[in-house]
Amino acid sequence: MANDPIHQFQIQKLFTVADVGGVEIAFTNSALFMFLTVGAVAAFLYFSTAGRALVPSRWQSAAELSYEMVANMLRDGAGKEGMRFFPFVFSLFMFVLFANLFGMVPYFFTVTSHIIVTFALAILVIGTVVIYGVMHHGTHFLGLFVPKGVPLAVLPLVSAIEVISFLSRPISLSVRLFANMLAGHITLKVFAGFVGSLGALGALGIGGAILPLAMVVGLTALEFLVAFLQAYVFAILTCMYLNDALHPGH
Amino acid sequence: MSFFVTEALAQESAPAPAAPAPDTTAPQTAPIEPPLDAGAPADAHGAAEATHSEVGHEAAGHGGPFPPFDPSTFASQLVWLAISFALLYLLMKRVLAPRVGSIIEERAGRIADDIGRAERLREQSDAAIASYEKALAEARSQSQRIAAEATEAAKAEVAAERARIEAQLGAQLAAAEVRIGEIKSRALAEVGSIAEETAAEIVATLSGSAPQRDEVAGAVSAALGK
Amino acid sequence: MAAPDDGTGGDGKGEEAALSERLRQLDARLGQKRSERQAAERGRSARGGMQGMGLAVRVSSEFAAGVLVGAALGWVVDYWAGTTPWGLIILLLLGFAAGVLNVLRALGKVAGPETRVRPGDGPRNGSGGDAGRG
Repeated sequence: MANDPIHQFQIQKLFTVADVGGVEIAFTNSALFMFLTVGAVAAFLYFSTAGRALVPSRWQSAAELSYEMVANMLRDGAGKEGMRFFPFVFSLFMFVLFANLFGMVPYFFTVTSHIIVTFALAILVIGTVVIYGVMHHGTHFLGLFVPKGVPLAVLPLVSAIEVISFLSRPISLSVRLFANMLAGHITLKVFAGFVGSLGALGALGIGGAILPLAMVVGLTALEFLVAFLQAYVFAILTCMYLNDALHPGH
Repeated sequence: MSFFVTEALAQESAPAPAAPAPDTTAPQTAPIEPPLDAGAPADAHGAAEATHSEVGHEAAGHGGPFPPFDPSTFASQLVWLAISFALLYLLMKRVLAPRVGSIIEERAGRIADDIGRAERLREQSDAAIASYEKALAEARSQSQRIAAEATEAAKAEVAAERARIEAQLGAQLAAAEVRIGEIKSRALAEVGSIAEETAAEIVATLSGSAPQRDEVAGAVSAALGK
Repeated sequence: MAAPDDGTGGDGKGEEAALSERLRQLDARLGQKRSERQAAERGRSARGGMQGMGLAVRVSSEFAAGVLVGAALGWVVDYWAGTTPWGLIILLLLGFAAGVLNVLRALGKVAGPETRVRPGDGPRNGSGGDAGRG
């Protein structure tokens, strides 16, 4: 198991809940970790602020820091009106961040290493953008795809490019997160496997295992950075896209 | 940790879901899985994994669908993601975000308040100092003015007093002179009568007879008038 | 009369000096606090390192996503309209252009659509479109 870098991404059925039209809905380890993530986020934000201290404790200041980071991100990216989406963006950020960080714990499942999860989150973002944009700006929202000041002759071409660019947003949003988590975890696992198998060879192997071990340590640090960075990028892009929904040209 | 729980549970529940689930991919991968799994390095779990027919599981890494791309797991993942994320969103909207936000707002308000109050107090103390200095300067100038006034008044009073006393003295002097003049004139007037009496006495003594009064008076006045 | 006045004046000056010294300190501290807060306000809009790394992570996938979506759309068009392989070819090219546009937009070289469609922005719009097509 330790030597199979793919094994960590296995979906394991814990129990079946329902069977809808031949599609089995099962409670899996993935679902378990989704709920663990939600629980951890809620517990972190709830209990760290239990003191409501004027001078924050370490935990409380971590919670406040994350709150303020997302709030500033949203304010800078989407303006004051964007703040109505704050719970949404903060939920997304914390969910992705905690899911990524949970993935760093050995033997834990990484929710965000599954394309369907990241894709669903990206579609949720884009869906929110489109629905809100159409609801509040009507057809004016489509002005996003029709840049003004472009000669009529090349307008279809430019619009087509704009549409593809818009459609590529959920793809880039989801694939980036998914690919980073997947690749990072596979790399970590492979190097950890080297350490394990080399260490098993005896004295010489233990000497030879030092380099991969150092690599694993370095990669782990890098992965923590990536875990945070991906959540950050996901949130900041969400803010940018929400900005389109709020201000699709005036 | 969860893996062991998982497999134990999966082993128990394996026959049940395997039979009714008409998975499209299950029949394809089912026949090839036991030999492949047996040869895999994870043979400790091979037996357990082979018994339950989770498609992505035993096939992964051995030519089957790569687990993150295995469509048979999509439906359940989506369902649970929707449920868990909706739960998180609701918690965030109702409880968590207002909670953290209120703490931050409170602190920001408190700090702004404190700084504002300090600034206000500083301004007040500035104003107090300014008014104190003004009052001090006023008091100083007033005291000088009062001193000057007092000096002037004292001088004037002294001058007036002196003038009054001088005038009084002058009047007394004048009165004294008048009295002296009177006394003198009276005395001079009495000198005649005394001289007459004296002359009459002298004449009486010398002549033995008392002279006529008129004669004496005429003689005296003639002598005096000379 | 002059002597006691001088005496109280000197005493007042000593107190005044101490008071003004304390006031000056308070002033300096208040100024420091205010500038700190302003710096914090400014700092949050210019978080250089984080944004730089975020950008680096973004750019690569933005381009790939454009091409990917173009190709997928092309494939779908071909599948429904039976125009193989022209839909794929054309939309792949458009996808390439969209990928380049995505990257340029991520780098801030081209105005985003929301600023581009703002009226009265003629010349900048033109250049934006050109860069997008290039």
